[in-house]
Amino acid sequence: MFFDPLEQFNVFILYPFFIKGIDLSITNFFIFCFLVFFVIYLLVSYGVSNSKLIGFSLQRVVEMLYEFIYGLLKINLNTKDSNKYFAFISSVFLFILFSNLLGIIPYSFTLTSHVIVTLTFSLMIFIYFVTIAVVKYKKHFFSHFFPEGSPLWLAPLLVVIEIISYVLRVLSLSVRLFANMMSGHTLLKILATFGWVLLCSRGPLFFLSIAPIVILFLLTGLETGVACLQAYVFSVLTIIYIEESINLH
Amino acid sequence: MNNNYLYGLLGVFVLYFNKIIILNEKFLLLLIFIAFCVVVRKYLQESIVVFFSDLQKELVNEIFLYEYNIDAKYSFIYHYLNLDLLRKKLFYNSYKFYLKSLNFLIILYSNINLKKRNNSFIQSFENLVNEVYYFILKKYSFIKLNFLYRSYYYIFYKFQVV
Repeated sequence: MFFDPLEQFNVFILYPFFIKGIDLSITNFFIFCFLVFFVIYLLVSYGVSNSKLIGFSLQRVVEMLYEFIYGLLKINLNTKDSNKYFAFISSVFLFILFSNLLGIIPYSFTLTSHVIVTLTFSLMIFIYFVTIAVVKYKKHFFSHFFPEGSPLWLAPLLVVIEIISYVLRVLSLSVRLFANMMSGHTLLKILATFGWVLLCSRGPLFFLSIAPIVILFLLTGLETGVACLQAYVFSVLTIIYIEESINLH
Repeated sequence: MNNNYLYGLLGVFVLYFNKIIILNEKFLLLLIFIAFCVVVRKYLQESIVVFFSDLQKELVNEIFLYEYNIDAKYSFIYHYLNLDLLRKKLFYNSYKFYLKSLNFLIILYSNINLKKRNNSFIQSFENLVNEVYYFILKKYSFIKLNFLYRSYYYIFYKFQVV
């Protein structure tokens, strides 16, 4: 019995639950969403409570994460009050990182392999950085769509291009993460199926199964790297977009 | 529990309970994932050990480059302060008694330096202590070094022999 490679992305209802016709059923998606939340909550709360100058291992992990995100903000955000955005960026980074990492565990569910999650994230971030720019610069915000020093006759074309590229950030940000996670997991599943078929076969084919298994092992490492890297890329791009909104260039 | 027992248990589980668990490609993926975690854990442990042994060598070199010189103290502190926060904590946790030993040596050196710097007997004694300390540092574990430190501490510092 073999599963479809895309079967792992199915959202299914575990417990049907309706309130006045509104579907609030408990799904595997819902369970993993809460699991990610609780893992982050437990890690941070346990790591921060009873903190000492010479910390224990979990405290070190939390401090390492804090220093990493703080470093990201300090390097990429060219402003004095970078601490203001720390909570937002750390929430985004930790949620994506942990949902990516939890998704690698077999029999689990990857939240970020669903475009609805990543699109919601990027749309929220888009609204956030547009609001920052509009509140700070008001009508001057629109100067962002007309590069400085460009000839006026090019304005109709340039403004349209700039607006499209600006709005498309929502899509690029979400599709980058979703596509990476989905393709990685699908590839793992296809190779696992291949390896399993060879492993179940008799004769010389059985010994050939070692190749997909070794590749699978290496790919697990690669996927772990990609999971961390994608969380990093998502956070860095968010910081860059916020920085552009603050300094308007 | 030893890792071998875990593998054995896993083997028994796969062989005898394969009717309970559906053996499919997902299960293969799970086994590979467990193997990956075991390898990564081992690798991480090794890299941490390498990191500390490198650090130890570096420190020993630095300390003994400046022996008989009060600058060693400042040099050491300078080195310690230059480490980032996390490394400092890791470093401090693992080298607590090492630091204590070092502190004692610094105290001992300072006392010798201040009181009886021109005494040739003390000079030669200082050399001897240094040689023994360096020898043990190279040859034996830190637990033994800690014991040595305690002995030194009680003999020379507590009872004011020097």
